[in-house]
Amino acid sequence: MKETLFMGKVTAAMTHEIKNVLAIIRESAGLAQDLLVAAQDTTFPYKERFSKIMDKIDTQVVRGAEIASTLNSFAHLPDYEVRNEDLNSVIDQMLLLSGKLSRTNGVKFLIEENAKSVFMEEDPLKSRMILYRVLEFLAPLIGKGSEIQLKSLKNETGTPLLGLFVKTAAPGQSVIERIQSLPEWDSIIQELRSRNTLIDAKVELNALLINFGK
Amino acid sequence: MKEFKVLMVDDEEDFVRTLDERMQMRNLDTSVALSGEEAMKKLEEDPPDVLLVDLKMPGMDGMEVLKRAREAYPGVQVVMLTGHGSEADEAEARRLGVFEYLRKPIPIDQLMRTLKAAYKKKLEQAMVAASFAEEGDFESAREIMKQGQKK
Repeated sequence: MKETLFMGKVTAAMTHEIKNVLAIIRESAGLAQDLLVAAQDTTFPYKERFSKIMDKIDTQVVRGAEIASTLNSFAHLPDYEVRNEDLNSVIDQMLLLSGKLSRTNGVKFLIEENAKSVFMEEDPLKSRMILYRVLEFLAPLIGKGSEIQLKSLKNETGTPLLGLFVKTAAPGQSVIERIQSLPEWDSIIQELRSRNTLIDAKVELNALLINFGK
Repeated sequence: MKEFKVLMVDDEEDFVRTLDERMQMRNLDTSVALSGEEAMKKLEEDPPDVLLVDLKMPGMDGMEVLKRAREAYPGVQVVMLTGHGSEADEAEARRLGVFEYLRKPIPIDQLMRTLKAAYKKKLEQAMVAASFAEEGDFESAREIMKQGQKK
């Protein structure tokens, strides 16, 4: 068994366990709330506060379940060597899994609403690894409070591209132009090229375009 | 009077006992089985209107419970509630005639709506079968009961 398959299998099994834990938390919090409603006549001074705490637990359970589901799909990626999928699914999944990265750097990653489907045949693990790598590269360089909008695109020959459009907290500044002058820029170009992927800087759009290649 | 009978099958005892208490507060006549084997015993002793079953359990799993319940108790509607569901599992459960396939954790209101819909389906099916039986068409009545959970 390949190492990635093993990692995926174990991780996927654990996400199921996490969901079971979340289900117990949700039902226990729900029962506590039910009991509070049933005992309406009693004078419990913290009734409202208690209820708000229970709602907070429920919200976090939903959040945890969404993360566990996304992590489960992610863990199943090594099952496929090549897969035909919508680039927007890649973006969706990675944005949810890179929440910590965005919070740590004080930046926002955004996906275009109602984006058109752009299908591509690719190694699903590779495309996500590259996207994560580029976000990891870009996030600390664009400044706190900035945003990166991710869009699925096609070039004039129909090749799928992933665009990362930067909107800085300080408008007018071309972050991409500055990034191009850094030594790290050449390193990331080389790193991605070794994975048969091209990255192109579009200064006028303040954007980076990724072409995942074959 | 309780609305209808639900048998809940799950090896996660903390989960199923808590859910049981919440269901009872919502006026359902509930009972609990902690394994597939125990569920089959309880089905034989006192068949419920709706069976709420987890998928992955040690020993007899939820898919096997679904299959056996469909064969032996076609009038009982089966709802699957699992934290382990893959798309293939869901497709298989639907093929075997599950009424609904739900994923944990689920809001209680959604679960209640599903259980009530399953019970409604059981009643409708029984009424159609009864009308055939009244006309003396027992074969059709039996067939309807057998079709049970197939949508």
